[in-house]
Amino acid sequence: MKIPYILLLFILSTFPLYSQVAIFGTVKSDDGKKLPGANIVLQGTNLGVVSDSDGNFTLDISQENYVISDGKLVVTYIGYITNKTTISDEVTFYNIVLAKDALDLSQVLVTGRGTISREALGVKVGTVSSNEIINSGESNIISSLSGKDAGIEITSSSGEPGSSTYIRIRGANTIQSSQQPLIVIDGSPIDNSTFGNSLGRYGAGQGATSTNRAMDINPNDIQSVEVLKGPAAASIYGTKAKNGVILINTKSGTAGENRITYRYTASNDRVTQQPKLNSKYGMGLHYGFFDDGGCDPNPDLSYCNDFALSWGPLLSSLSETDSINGYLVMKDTLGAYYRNGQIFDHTSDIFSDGGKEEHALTFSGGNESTTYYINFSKMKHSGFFIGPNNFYNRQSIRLNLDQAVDKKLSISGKMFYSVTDGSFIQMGSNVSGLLLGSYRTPPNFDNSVYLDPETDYHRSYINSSPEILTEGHGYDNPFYILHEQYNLTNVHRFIGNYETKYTLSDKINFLYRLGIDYSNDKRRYIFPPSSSENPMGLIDVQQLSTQLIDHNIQLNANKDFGRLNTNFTIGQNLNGSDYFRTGIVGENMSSYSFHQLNNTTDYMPDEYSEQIRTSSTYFNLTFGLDNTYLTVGMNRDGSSTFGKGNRFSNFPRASFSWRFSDKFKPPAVSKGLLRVAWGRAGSEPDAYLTKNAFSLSSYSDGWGPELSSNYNGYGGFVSGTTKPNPDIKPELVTELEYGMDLAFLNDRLNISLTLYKQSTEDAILYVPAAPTTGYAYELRNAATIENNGLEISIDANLFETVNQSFSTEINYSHNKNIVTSLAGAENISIGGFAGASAYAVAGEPYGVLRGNDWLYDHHLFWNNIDGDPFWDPGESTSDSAFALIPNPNIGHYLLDENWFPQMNPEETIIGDPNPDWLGSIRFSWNYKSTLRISALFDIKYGGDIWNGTKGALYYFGAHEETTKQTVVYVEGGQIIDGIATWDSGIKTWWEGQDVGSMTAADAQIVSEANGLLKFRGYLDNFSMYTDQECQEFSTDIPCVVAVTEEAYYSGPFSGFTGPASQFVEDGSYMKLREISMSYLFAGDLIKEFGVQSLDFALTLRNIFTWTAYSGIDPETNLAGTSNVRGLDYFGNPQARSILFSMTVNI
Amino acid sequence: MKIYTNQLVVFFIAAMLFYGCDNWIEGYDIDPNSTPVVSIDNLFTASQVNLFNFSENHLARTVAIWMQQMAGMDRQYKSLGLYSFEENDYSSSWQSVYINGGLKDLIKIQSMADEVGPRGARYKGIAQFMEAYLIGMAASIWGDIPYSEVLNEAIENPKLDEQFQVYLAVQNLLNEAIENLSYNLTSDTTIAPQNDMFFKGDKDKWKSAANTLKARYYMHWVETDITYCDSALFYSGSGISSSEGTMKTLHGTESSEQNMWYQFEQDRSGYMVAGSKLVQLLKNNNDPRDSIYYGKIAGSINGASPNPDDAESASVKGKSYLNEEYFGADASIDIISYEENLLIKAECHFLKDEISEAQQALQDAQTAAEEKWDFEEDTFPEISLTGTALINKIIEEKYIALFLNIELWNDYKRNCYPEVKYKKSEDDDGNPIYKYPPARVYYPEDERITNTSIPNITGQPEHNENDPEQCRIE
Repeated sequence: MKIPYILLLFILSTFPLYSQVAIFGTVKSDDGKKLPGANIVLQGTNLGVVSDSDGNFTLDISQENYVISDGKLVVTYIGYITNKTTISDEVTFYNIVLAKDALDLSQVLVTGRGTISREALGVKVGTVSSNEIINSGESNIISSLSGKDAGIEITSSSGEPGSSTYIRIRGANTIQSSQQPLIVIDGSPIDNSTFGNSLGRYGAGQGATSTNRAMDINPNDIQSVEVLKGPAAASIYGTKAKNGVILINTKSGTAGENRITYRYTASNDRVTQQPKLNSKYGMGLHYGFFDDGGCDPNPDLSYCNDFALSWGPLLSSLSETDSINGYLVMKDTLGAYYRNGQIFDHTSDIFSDGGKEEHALTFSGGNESTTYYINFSKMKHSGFFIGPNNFYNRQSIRLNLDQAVDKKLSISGKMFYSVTDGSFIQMGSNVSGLLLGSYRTPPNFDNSVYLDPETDYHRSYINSSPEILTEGHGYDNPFYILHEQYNLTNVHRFIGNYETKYTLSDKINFLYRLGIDYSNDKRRYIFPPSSSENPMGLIDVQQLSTQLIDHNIQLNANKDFGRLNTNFTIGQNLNGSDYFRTGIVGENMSSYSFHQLNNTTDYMPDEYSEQIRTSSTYFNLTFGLDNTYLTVGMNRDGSSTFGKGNRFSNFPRASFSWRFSDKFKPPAVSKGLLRVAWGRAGSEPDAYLTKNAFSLSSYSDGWGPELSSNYNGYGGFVSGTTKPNPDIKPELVTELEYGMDLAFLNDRLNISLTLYKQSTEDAILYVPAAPTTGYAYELRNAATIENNGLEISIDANLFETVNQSFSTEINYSHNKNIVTSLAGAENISIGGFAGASAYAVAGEPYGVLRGNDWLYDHHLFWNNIDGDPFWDPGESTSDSAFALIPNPNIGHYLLDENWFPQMNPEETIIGDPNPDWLGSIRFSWNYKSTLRISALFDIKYGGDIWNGTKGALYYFGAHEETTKQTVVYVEGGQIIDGIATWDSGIKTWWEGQDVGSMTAADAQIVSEANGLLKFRGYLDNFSMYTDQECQEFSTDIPCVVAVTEEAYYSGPFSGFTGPASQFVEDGSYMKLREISMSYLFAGDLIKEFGVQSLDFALTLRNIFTWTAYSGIDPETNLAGTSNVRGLDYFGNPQARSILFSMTVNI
Repeated sequence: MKIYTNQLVVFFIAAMLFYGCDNWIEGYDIDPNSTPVVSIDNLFTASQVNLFNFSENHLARTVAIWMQQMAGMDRQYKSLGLYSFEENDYSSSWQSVYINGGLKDLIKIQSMADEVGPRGARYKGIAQFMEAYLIGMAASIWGDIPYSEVLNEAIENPKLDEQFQVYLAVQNLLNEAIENLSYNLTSDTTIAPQNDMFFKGDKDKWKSAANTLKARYYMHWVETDITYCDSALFYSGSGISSSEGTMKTLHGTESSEQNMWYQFEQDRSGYMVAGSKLVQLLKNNNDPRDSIYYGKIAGSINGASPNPDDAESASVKGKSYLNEEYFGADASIDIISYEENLLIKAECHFLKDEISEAQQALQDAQTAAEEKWDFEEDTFPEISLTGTALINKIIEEKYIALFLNIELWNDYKRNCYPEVKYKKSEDDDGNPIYKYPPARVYYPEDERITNTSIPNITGQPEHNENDPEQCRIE
């Protein structure tokens, strides 16, 4: 509707020229609740205010602006239908009432590739508000999203500040390419890589953690986060969007008063769940004690592997003068460190309280044509490990400027600069890793004295009296790691965004946007001499830089044909990403503390660079008829990583939505929307795989030794070993999403239901090739994968009065994933360990863990050799048709001759790390808009974890469960275990020796007196018979066995010597992810001090976890942001925190 | 105004649809991290390093462990010590044969040498020698191997060539190599590779090594027919004639150039220590090479054995590793040695009943050892042995002299020395059941699953055609 010019002139004439008029008002909801924080903007200008805590506002309007606005005030509030109020000179007070919009349907979504009404999108878009992000207390924007929306799986790799966080939306849709979604800030994609380096010192499974680059973003700057979950929604991003898109919008200033906000946050972090360790037995083997005199040292290492274990004496039984097997108990030259009876808890001695402190100062405001937002933030976060080397600090500044040049042209510029400093701790499968060294230390060794008082050299329990500087220790002392090793990163990041919008007419506008993202990461890794990973000492200095340029130009037009509205967007996007890395590794350090390359003598350089260019032309056409929308669109995307002639592909999409409640309303339903969307997106192959080239080679056989092809002063190159493929096509993901949004009980209960079906075709794989054809790998479009899922979001405001409200949000998602084909390959390794590795296996969910399992009896027939009715080991070896007795043991363990279970030498699938479902529930209580309390529970149900830590600790004798003691009574060859009496010997693993004939020299005996025999271990029965049945069918030996120390470190009960399957556990958990309480002061009392409002908040994060998992916190992933899931192997543990924050608004 | 708008919009749309900025993505397909062009020297350097790797990697450690010069004691190396291995254990050696500086690049070197014309003859001869070394040794390990159909874009599943045919082809290739190495322009202007890390471009040394290699490959068939000794003797006659002619790996102290035996101990100490078999033999013989080969711990050299029959040495506690003075970071390992040439002569002379020549050759081999390790003259006694004692001594000397050399496995398959079986279990009558080192390893899984010509594990032979009698003599 347009006001006739004549009328406008008339209205204008009533305003004094160039004067200002103030209007007042309140904003309330249709049920009478005051709405603080509503946005009141004069239409067509940047002039606006935000309502105060009582919903009141004041706005000064100039005549000029009044003209521009056509006399309209636009009032918006999230969750309410936007209100347009006509103002006139005669009224200065406005009572504005907003109607609730249960489905947020009126809102539009700015995707960065056009603006579209949410309803017309035809998909469910998750929205996370600024408050939800801030209140989570997380410094990593990705971590702060956990539990906030359905279908998003988020895992922090550890609780170390600055560690990377993995995010996966709607399941795995690729085999070997990344599963991380695209991150877009203010319309321009940014880099969220997690870079390891070429030397693996930072990376999956070993080394120190590394940061995902989105962590440079300051959460204080974020206005909202939108999640486009699959290609149906994200297809507009074409080749980059198959994993979904996370759209982040930063804050802008609002015209009116200048506002200053200061926010202070402080937290205390502590370590969460850890495994329970042996606190009873000392170092050694066979119950003997470690002693320098009893172990001729290896010439290179001066320690003995035999004694690196905790199968030594029962500490409580010893006194200082005791000797075992002829050796004194306290034989260490520093005797005092093997303190008799004193137990050191290696799950706690390396931890202390960590925490962060953050200051954020924001200035915002502006006038009718210009608004600004400036934020300065400084965060210091120290981790929960002792020592100075565990921190992550971030300083950032953001400046967002919006300028309305005139009625047609507006420009905005956004700039962000941050400097982060991180220092991380080596972890995982790495002999210089923290928990591997700590957990395996026997309980009687005090790690805290990590330097030898005489030599000042690194001492550890394996090498307690070091005499040489440059020798390894097998495993490093954790205190040495925490004090002397450094893994430093210093990142400078600039993200800039320039946008200009030109409104040609009310039907047509142009938009141009240029985004730049640059980061420079300087890393320094220092393994001082005697580090077990690099005994000679190593300094690795790396510099990594990334640069992204994103250029986007688009035109948007809309036209109404009666009731039919059309909207058309066409645009073009050019994107360039450059990655560059240089580094030098220096080896052979001559002193601990000098950390420059100058302290080394051998050098190895490293350089890598990669440039990728993509180009995209796209259009979107939306037809709207009443509240029914149909959208069709297409991208034509190209990437420089495809072969010539194959560079471009098309990505179509279509969606439909129908607000059926306009036509008919089922009972109790206040609103209802049906939607369906279909779209296709893809991903490009790695760079430079379309042409043959020669490269450097490194020769190794997987055991460690390595030779470089640059040799003896000459350059050496070999023919490339990956077969180039100029015909490679994009990996394609096609998604069909459909669902329904329903509101009940006057919009108090909202339910959103979404079903999707994703199929991945042409997944890009490095397929092994026959070396005899000249290649080791071949790049192919090979695999297909399917993901089917269900997402439910429920938002209920069931109790609501004028003063208070109580609401509940529930998110639930379930995804079923299956790798449908691997182009003929049985399985493809994704990565992992010798014990358990993740694989893509045709017909199985992605990432299943393969490893050794127990050997089960699959023989159909029983070869009943001895003719008795009792099956015993050795009798089930026949499938012969002549032995027609059905095998009674079928499906049970195939036991060895001593009744022990055996390991299947062939690897099978032993676990599936994909969760069955994910869920979250948030309860919020809001009193008088001042007191807010909310609790968020996060649930992961299902999903296996290989507890490799436990498997290793079993081997070392360092796990609490290896400290079980069993007492049996031996009399006349009989063994009495308290319940049953056994006629003949119970076998141990050690060459089938009888328990009754064990002696102290056999090591397993803790004590022996008057026929009572106490040993470290337990009795178990692995057969199909009960103990009683065993007694009844008298056989040669009982089917009960004694699991003693040998069965752990050389038998089947450890992670190194036995099947990995026994350490696969259910990783389900429920976490009290957040409890937050905040109180807002906004009364006159503080206004006297010039303070508008004061907000105090207390957040408890990850404070409780309910889980049956026996390792560290089950929210763990050693492999960081790689595609490998479900591995726990001495990764650094998780943190729980208490955060306090105070926000002052001036 | 309206017209102007429409024109602009039409122009805009047309620009996007027709121009599309396709040029933006052009010109980024050249990998800056590798090079499309290499020199013959670049390929040659890498091919030599590949050969060092082939001679010192897991395969070499396996041979040393199976021959009990070393002992596998921990984790996977313990089961290796008990003669177990996995299908993929030697895939990196397989790759070394064909790619990564193996056959693929050696053929490229030969064709690049051809482009130079006659002056490239020396380069070509060296590359042919290296090809013959890799292919011949691969045939000794795996038996039938793909050779005639390899590296051909048109053939997806290169067939297995019979072991004997491969050896024939390799002998022919060595003939060509020798011919190329003998090529003489009026004054020899054939190009000598500057970066020849074996013989500094000395074509006579290469020629001698080629002759010894020919002799070695004839020895590989002596078990099937003793007359191969005639050829072996013939070629050893022009074989390596001094210690300087020994072909060996080259290493430096920099971490990317260190001897792989040394690196292995740095990375996986305790996995492998001195083998008690050789340690005991040297001690019993009062052979001073024990303290050359192995390091001392508390003044003594101690070997271990994972064999259950050998329980007293079943711990790594106090056991020696290699002597760092001679087998340290920059130590070389012999690939084809002067001693080998002499001991091939000794063995064949003996088999042809030419006893005094056999004695002389053995005597020469021991003298070579004395010179090599700087022992006093006559450290080893004059050889006057005859009969079984003589052949045993020859075989024993070769076992000692070819320390850590992968060729030892071929000697073992022919002579079944040393005796390295262990008692695995007993049969129902209480008779021992022994386990022996394998006579062949499986084709790597990588090749099997991608090349349909490779049979499954169960379809693969236990021993090769040139080894008709497996070493299972009681």
